[in-house]
Amino acid sequence: MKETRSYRSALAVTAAALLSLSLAPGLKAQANGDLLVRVQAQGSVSQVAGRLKQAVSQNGLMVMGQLNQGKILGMTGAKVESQSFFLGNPQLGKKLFAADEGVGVAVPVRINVYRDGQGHTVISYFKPSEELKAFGSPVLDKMAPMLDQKLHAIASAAATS
Amino acid sequence: MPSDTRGSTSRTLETGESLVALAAAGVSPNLFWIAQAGYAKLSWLGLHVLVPSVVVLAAVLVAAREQGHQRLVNRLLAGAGAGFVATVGLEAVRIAGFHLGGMPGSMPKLLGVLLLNRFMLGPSALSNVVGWAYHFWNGATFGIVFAVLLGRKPLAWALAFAELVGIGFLVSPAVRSLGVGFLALDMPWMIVTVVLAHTVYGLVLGLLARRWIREPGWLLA
Repeated sequence: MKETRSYRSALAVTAAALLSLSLAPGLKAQANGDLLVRVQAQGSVSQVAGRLKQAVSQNGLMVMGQLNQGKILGMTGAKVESQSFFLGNPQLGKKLFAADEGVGVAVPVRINVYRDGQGHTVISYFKPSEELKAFGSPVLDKMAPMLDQKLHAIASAAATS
Repeated sequence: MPSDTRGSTSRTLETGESLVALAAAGVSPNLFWIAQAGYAKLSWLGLHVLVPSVVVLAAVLVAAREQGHQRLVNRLLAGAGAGFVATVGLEAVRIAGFHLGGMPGSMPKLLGVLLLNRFMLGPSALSNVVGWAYHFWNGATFGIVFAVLLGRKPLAWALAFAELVGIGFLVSPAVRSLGVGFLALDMPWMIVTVVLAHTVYGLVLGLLARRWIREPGWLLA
């Protein structure tokens, strides 16, 4: 009987947690495994991209490059809404490359804003801590959570209007 | 100076101007494949090679007019005009082919983003204008090459010339870089589109060149 009650309460807590997540205003985060992070955002792709660029500078990074896959694929006749931003800063770059000269395959970190099949605008990125693990460098492992936090803060700020 | 010596000097000068015009006109169409082969960026080539080649062509036109080389002036203008109009015909086929799945993408738009070095950002109104202008300039310069080199020839010559241009495009690294394989063998309808488009180009070029070029014969002879 006691076991049944605790099972029920655990179920209720889980349901409440799921419900609160789904009702969180405009922000729905979903991690596919540990690597891919997806955050549902409010507004169109261009609106979210605009907010994202502002959030980038507020989090001590800069947009080092921008890739508009939607427009590029538009040249082939495909209709896609997708923009990628490459984020970093010189100081961070110096430290990362000092730790491993081959880190350029993972940085500047990339964040993507796109319209999914259901018409939702989504912000996605690969968690730097998971990507940088591949280098086996204690220095990079130490710096990676800071990048995780920055990307999380940027995605959260850009997701809500 | 005796008149036949003056005439000989003038002909030599006209031949020299013709060779410079041919070289300058041949620059533009080669830049795309050079860039796609990885030798240089199209944006750099556009500024440092294409623009000077246009200036050289304009200078040849002015010099030929000043020196009374009316035959060359006529061929430069007739060739450019015929090539330009023929490109409209080529575009009609290419655009239709693109919408029917016979082309991997919009070539003028691609040229525009490459020329303005904004591939990552995709096309803009300005890049589209630049890309279309470059595409039509290529058509005009092929017309100049045809008119200066061959002059008023039967239609079959223009058709053969245009198909050579089309085949040259298909075998160039530019096509392979589009992801359709060597000679566009992975996209057979592209071959059809290119051949048809250049057939129309050749027809229009040949008809207009016969109408607009005053003298037959080889200019370089």
